[in-house]
Amino acid sequence: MTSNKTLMKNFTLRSYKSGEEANIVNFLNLCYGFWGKRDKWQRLYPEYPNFNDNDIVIIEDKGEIIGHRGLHFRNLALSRESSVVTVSSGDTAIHPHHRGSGLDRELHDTALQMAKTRGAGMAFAWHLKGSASYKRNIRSGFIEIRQPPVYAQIIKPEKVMKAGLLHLIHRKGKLREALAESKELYLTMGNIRLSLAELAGAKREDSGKIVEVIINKDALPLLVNFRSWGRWQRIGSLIRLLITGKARVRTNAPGALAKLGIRGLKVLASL
Amino acid sequence: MPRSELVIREYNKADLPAILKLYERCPAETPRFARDKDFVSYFINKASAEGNVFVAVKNGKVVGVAMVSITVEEELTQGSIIELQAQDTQTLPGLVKTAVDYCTQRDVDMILMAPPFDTRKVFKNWLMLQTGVMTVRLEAPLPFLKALLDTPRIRNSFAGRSIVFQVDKEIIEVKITSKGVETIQRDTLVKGAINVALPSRVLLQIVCGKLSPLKALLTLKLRTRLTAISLVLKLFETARLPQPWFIPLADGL
Repeated sequence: MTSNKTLMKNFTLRSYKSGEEANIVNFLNLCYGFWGKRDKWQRLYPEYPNFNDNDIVIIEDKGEIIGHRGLHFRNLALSRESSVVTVSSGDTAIHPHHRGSGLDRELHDTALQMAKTRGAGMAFAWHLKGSASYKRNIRSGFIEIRQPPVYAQIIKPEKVMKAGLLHLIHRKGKLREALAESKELYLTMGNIRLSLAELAGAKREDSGKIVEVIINKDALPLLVNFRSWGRWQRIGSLIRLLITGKARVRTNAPGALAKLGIRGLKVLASL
Repeated sequence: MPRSELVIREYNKADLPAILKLYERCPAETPRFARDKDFVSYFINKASAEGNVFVAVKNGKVVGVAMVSITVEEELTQGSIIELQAQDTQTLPGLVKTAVDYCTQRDVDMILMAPPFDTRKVFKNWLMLQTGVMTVRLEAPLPFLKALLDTPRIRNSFAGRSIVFQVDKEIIEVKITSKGVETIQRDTLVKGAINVALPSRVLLQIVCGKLSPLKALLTLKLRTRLTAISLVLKLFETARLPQPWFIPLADGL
């Protein structure tokens, strides 16, 4: 970018300036919940082969970062003999106060236009299927490329389940709200028992009433793709867990269970 | 004659040229991101900083490499074999076992890997994880058509042909000879030439095997003159990229 560009509402679009690494990482952590540390950013961008400052696109409002997108340029070999320059975009983030204003779309379009002028013949992006960015890209001419699955070995199912839940709760505001109200609801796998309300950010309240969903460790193959599924696949997998006996519900407070049943519909709707 | 043994050991800096040769010797069967010196060194540095790199050696020759990264996010310690390359399927299990042992010693919660080719039979006990979806869009048809069509198969089958593609609003003339493919940006269609008109999305769908060129013709997503249909169909069949794309974890940003 040779000069700054003015976007809607007089926000400024510019490239990365040396010295603002900490601000960028703080911003990404604000937007993603937990994105990572400075060394991760350093390795992903300044240390990346052929990096230049224009590979980081920033939207600024009165000196404050409110948008970020990273670009990676690399060759894709289509065959033994020939390759094409591609751009891959990632770490797209818009400040929570500015989401839904169309800024994301403007950042997306401008960054890809800039990449094209820098010689990119193809643009790549990675998403969770069904996510807002996935839907937007499909609408704007992207197609999905078939990829084989990644292979996984799960050593500690309980920790994997907790991390998956935290990730999902952070991404889904409505789910977070619904779970934060469900103070009696616990999820148990092996020797780990999680308060879902606590995971959703609510304070611990011990009323003695417990509705516990106990999941067998061997249920993990059914849940392992939960994050990348759409809503109906997610709901289907939960039903399958109950039907196959890989999950069961235990409670010491039937009244609380009935109350949770109603809230459960809210949770399912927000998945 | 003594039987040659496969040895798996930690990487050292002197292995880099042999690893680069391994990539040259074993080109990917599907499209793959660059594995030149800059990128291989970058991935080795990344893995060395976060985990470790292992090489498989047979008869003094590097026949495989595995790069392991261990990351901690939201209390989850994840071991990822971010890059795995081997000259054959026999080399993979030993490399993967070494990488898995390394991760287990470091008390990881889960291990991920993306093999470079179809290895479902070799790693039957691993779970199949759908991590995310890769999407792609054509930004500039000219360099893409050049890279797509400049292959020996196309040159041998279509030498002497000149085809004019209208992809979205861009018009590109492709001249194919036995020695190479020339692509020229045009302002208008070329009279008397074989003109092929299609949107960039349809071009990608055809090339990636998501839409048959015949179906695209029948649904008028792809247009050409009647007498050129068989040639255009044959061209697209020959140019189709193999699927699925085996993209290492190191490339998924």
